[in-house]
Amino acid sequence: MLNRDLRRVVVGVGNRFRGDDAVGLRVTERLEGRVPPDVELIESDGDPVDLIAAWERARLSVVIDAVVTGGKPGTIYRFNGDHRLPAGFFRRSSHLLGLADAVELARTLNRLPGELVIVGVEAGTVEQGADMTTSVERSLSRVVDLVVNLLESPSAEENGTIGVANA
Amino acid sequence: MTNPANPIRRIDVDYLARVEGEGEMHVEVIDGKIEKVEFGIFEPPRFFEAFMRGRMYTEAPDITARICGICPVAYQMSASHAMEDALGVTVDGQLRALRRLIYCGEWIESHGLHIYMLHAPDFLGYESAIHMAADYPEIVEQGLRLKKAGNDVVNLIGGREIHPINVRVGGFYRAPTKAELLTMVPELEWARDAALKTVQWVSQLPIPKMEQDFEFVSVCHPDEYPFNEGRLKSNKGLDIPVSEFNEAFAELHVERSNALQSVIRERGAYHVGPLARYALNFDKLGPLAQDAAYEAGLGPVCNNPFQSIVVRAVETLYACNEALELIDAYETPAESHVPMVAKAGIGHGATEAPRGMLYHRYELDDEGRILEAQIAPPTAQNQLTMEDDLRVVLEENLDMSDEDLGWRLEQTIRNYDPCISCATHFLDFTIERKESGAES
Repeated sequence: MLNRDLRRVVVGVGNRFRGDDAVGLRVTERLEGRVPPDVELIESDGDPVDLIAAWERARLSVVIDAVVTGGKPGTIYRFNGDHRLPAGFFRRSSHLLGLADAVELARTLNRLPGELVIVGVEAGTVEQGADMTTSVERSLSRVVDLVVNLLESPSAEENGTIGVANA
Repeated sequence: MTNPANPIRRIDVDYLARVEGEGEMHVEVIDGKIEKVEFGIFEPPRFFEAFMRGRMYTEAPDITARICGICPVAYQMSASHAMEDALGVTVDGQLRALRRLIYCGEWIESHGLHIYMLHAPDFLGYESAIHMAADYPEIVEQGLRLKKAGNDVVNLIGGREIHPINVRVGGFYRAPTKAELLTMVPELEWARDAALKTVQWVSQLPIPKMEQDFEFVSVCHPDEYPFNEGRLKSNKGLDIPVSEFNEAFAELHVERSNALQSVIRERGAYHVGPLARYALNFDKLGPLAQDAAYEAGLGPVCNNPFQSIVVRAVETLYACNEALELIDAYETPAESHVPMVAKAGIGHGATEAPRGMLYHRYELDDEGRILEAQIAPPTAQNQLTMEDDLRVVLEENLDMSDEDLGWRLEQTIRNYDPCISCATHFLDFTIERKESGAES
């Protein structure tokens, strides 16, 4: 196992059977071969136990998940884990403790990574059995680039909306 | 028509927090009398039933495992058993033992999550486990580690925990070695101790009193606490092979819900899950879990749904101990699965998901393609029973404030750890309470 100070993880959260909810997993797939060899790529259904286990020893963790705010599908948001995530953004996982819950639980128990960056992608549909919407599909390469850049310089950008991929 | 002097008290809970998936509850009280109790759920197996038509029998465990993020093993097991039934194949020996072992892992993780993260906060008056963690960090850490121990069992045998790809019809793609299983022993020994402490801890929680005359239904095996195999039995005389499920049970479509509600023909509501397994199989729990149950104040039958948290803890203890015994007795098998040949047929499978009996039925053509699929998940089977419980809790607590009553009603639903849909659920849980007059 890598030293706690060196380890970096990228976690894609989602469900492939729920339309745009697959975005985190699709991004992780595309990151294979595009990130430095020390970066661990993890797929997750959002289980807080697994999320905390994935990031707690890492110096940096980037987590990608779908969000629903009523905004334009494909919009990319970025949050720093030092602050509480905005209420209502992230899905609750199958366990009904979602990413935001996992972050707060980890904060309470002092089990956050050294640095946590969360990338949210606005979902168009999360219907059971739906395909990914074109808007979110188009945002994928941009999200991938963003994660690659984050791994190079995680503190380069402020929190907030990055942009709309198909704008 | 209601009289303006008799206002309607209506409690609507549209999205239940800490219930898997999405659900809604509508309660109407007119002039102190309960007029309506409806618990509606939106549930996905219909999509999967349609999705599976035309697929090969080999795909069913994989596809149905996607239905539930918490209990993929249950779906894989019921699907595999049903397919093996259709093809005339029996899986026994160490492969059968491995199936019990992976099921132990799923019970530990699912019960661990529900007890600590979802249900305990109800009893202690916390909005969520996060709020509870601030005051009880060690308890929450214990719950997380216990759940992790279950995750690890499922991971090791299943291949990958969120989608255990190693399970197949006929057994496994690769059987783990004895040495691999032995690596889990220290953590499972810790988990067994933690589970015993869990039983003691939850039995001290302030548990509301309630007695229901349930018809308990579970898979029952002559020698084992049930996971994979047995007849379907109840405490009111049901005793049938799994293949007669559709003769004994009916699934009724209810307009307000996408789910089908199950009833025992002629008798109505029934109860599946930990309380049912416990009542019908107490003698198979073994001395460790039985003694812990007695010390926690339980008898061999528990009719108080609020005590399900204690029974879940007892089952977690059983599962930890059973996992250790299975690992101890395990010998790496020569073959990882039983060979089979596709043919036309109908197969049935019922196994015990953490939330209760999960029934699958498949009809195959002569190439092994799925013509029809039927899935009866435990939460749909429990839906009418949940409504009965809600009605009783309402009747007994009408003097409570809306806030306290809403809380108690949610707690009542969470007694069933309802697995309503899977995966995506978009936050916001709102309780809407309205009072209105005649025109409502």
